[in-house]
Amino acid sequence: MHIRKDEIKGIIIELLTISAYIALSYAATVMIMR
Amino acid sequence: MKKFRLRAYSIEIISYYTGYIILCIAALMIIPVITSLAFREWNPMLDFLISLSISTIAGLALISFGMQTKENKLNVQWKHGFVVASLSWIILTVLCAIPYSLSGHTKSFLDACFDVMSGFTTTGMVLTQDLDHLSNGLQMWRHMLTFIGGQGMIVLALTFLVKETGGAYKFYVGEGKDIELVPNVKGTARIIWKISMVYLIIGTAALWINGMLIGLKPASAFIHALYIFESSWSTGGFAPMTQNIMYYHSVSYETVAMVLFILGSFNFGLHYAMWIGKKKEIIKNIETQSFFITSFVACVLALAGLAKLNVYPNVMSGFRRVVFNVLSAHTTTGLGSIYARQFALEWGDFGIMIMTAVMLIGGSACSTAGGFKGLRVGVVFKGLIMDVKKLLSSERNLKVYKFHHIKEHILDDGLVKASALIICCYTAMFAIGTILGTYYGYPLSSAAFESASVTGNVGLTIGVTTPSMPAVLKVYYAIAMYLGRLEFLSVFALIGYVVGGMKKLCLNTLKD
Repeated sequence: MHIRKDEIKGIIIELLTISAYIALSYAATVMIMR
Repeated sequence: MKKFRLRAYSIEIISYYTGYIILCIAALMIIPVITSLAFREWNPMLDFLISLSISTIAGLALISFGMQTKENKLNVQWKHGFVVASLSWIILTVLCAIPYSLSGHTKSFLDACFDVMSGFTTTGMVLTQDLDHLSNGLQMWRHMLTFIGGQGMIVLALTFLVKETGGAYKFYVGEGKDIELVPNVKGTARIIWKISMVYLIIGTAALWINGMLIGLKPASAFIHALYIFESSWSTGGFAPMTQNIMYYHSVSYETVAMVLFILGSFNFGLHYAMWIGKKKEIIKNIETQSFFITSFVACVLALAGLAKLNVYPNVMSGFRRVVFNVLSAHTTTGLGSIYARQFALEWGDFGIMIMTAVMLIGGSACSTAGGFKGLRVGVVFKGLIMDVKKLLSSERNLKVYKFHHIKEHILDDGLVKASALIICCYTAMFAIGTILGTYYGYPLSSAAFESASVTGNVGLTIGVTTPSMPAVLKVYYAIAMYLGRLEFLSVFALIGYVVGGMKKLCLNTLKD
């Protein structure tokens, strides 16, 4: 299985976007439950 | 006579391709056989060998019955695609339930079929008893079922086994996946499997390292990582232990699982677009927009509701119990970080209502997720705005409304109507399930929660789904999972085909 450079970039962006979204959800939890 | 011959041809085509699919899945039983052999589990190995033999015989019998298809190169029509897809799922559920039943971990064969349907449809409801002491072979099998079911077993079978792929797209659509990433089905299916395999390596490695850091032995950490990846990526919800994700007692393990099930709930078309360099697609796409908005609003509402009830004492416990479960429900995964009865006893009606709503909305179309799907919710919402704008603008204003999903699409009434129709089918299914639940004496909120969970292929339970629940409810839940996963059309085609055939047979008999 061969993975191109573009594909690795795509994977990193997907992972970063979802991580950012989870971080945002955590921030919302802090705001509400503090 | 000609009509009768045409129907016979149809039966032969259906039989031939169904046989192929059964043969393909039967071949996959070799993996649990090898697993059982590796762990020296002789009885489970024998169970799988018996199931493998029965499935192979059934597959070969169906292929030989429909051999005319190959010899005369009969053309596959849309109706055949739909009927093969829906029929294969039923036959495979029965055949794949044999090792469950032989293992002695299920109360009845119905329970075994329920668990297989739950796995195939990536629901994750469990009726198998004593999960913690299941053989390694059967654990491998149940997680494989959910992984294959998520990607699409008919796609797997037809693209790797059948040489002539002219009609393959018809089977492919029949299984609820109607995207064409590249002009041919074989290429599209291979891309789907490539995306899944790449994330299998990344996700399993991340969970494996995490597992070792929290104290699991390397071999055990690897097996657990593989199972939790398969479950998360397929938005399935199965876990190797009764305590589900709570077994690991780790916020990092739960966070990695969360990233994986959100990824799994995204459209394969979106992954492909990102991989070929369309980096803004994840923000522009109507489905991801719909998911990010609805899931964030649901998290905030559930957090606010539970904060008011003072259920969770601190931020971390609120995040791990509320955000994790809401996202697990929204992506239709079903991994749970609290016990089933805690929903009923601690979350209150407001929390249950939020969970019910997100379970019905579900993930993306052409992904491993269930529910209405973000695409349909987005299209109906935009359609509503379009209608309001049309009402407010002058009659001569013929503006074209568009939405972005991989590329720009024109929003027309037909598309809005088709999306609304499927949403209506899901809602009706949910309503019937809720009524049935209350008929058997469960509280309204519990019946609605469980019904939304099976209709949306989620798998979270509030305590209704147990081996002791009424058999009628088990059958209905299995049907709801099946209809929800195949998105109604294929199953309606199968029912129409069988009823139409019987009607013609009766009329011919009466004429004679």
